[in-house]
Amino acid sequence: MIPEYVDSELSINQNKKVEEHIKTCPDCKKYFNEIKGVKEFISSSAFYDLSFDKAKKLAKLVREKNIEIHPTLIPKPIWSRWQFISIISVLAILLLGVLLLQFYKPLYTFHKMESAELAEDLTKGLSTTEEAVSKEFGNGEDTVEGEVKDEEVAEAEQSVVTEEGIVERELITIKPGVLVPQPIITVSENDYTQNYIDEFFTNQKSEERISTEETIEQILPIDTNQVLLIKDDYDKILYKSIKSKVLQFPHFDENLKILESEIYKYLTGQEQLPEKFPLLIFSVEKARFEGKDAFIISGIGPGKDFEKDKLTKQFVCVIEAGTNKMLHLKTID
Amino acid sequence: MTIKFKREKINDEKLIRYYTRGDEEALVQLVKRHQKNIYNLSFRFMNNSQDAWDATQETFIRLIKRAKSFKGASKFSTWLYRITCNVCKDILIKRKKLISDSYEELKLTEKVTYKNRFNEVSNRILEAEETDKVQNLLQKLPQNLRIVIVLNDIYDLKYKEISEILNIPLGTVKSRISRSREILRNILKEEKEQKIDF
Repeated sequence: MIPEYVDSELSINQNKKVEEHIKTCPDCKKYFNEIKGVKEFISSSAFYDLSFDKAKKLAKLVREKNIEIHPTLIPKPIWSRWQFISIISVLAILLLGVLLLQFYKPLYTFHKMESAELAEDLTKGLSTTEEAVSKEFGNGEDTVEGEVKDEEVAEAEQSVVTEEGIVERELITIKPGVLVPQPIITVSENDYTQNYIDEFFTNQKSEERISTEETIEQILPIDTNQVLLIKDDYDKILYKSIKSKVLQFPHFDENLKILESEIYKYLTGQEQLPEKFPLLIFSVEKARFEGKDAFIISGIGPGKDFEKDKLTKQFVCVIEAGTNKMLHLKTID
Repeated sequence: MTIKFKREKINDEKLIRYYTRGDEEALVQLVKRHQKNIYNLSFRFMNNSQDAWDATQETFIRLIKRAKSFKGASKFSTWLYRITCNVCKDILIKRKKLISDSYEELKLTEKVTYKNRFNEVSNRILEAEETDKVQNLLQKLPQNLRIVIVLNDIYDLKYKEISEILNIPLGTVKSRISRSREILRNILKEEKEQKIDF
């Protein structure tokens, strides 16, 4: 039992028994000490270890053997589980994308439809006004003034068509009291800033988007009874607003009335307004400007040499909705 | 997503499982951790560095081959020592056969070249440098007793573990240990007496 006692392989009770026996028996004590000595001697031995080179060699061997022997043994890499999940998620995202596109498409077409309807409305409006105009002119044929106007308009129309050769361009004359087509109002959800508008305006200028300047010059001086509705190359509608006609615009009439006079004052530097003044409004856009509800209005008006009655100054201005306070105005000669 | 973990802190049983799932670095970690023990055990068995090296290599090759067969019934180290012991035994059996074969060849030719002699001598010198007193003492034991005492005293393994490694009954382990202790005790006693005589 002593070798087992030395190796501490005995139970607690057996251990106790051996301990007690060793205390009393000198032979066993001697034997125990010798066995213990043997164990200590053996366990004191040096631990042989691989040299650095051999350890390196072994690592290399293990790595190489690993590939040589084991392509089949390696069952599945850990990432294979993730691979499955990732493929599923990618598919899910794709499916979601397709579904979203499906939802998006009708919205897009609706938007298009809306603009198409608007265009139709405009043309309808035009036709009705043309009819109205012809009727009006039919009634007032006897008057000399009417004749003069008619000739003037005809001249203008000819010049536009012959020189520019753009079919879309239309020129309509409307007498006061006749309904004008819907105002050109584009509603945008954009929140503009002063810088944006300045930049946009100069870009517009540089790109010569407002290319009708020359044709406008040809038409002018404008008869104050005329309302011009001109489509440019980009289908942008240019609208000539006349003081008397402004009133007929629902919702914007008051705003535009005040606006036009203010813009005119600003452009010409005159305090007193003439009874009739020429001013072209290209577009009225309802938008957010620096956190406020506002109308962004662009157009062209006379410069300080207004006596010539020529529209030379392009402008863009921002007016706060409700208060009619001018927030921003920029002009380019 | 990758999860970073330190393989140094993971136990052997988990590492071998990782390896069977394809984590090859886990195997490298296992080799790093056990190469010293395996080499040392092989050295005790084979008693020379070259054979110990061969046995170490073979052990790890077998580990790679049989990694999947480790079910975790015993400790990984126990399992690995068993492989080592089997490898050493296999090598020794082969060696015996080779020696007997070459001895017969020698008998036939009866020629030992000078070069061979030189190699033999130089090898012995090298071995003598590497071996210590304990190893010399252990060499005096028969192989089956030697391995038991090595596992018990140097590797601090319990009788049960030794019986698992060598695949022998617990009683056999006990008897072999007491027998080998007895032999060693007598040898040491004789040496002491010889020293006193001087």
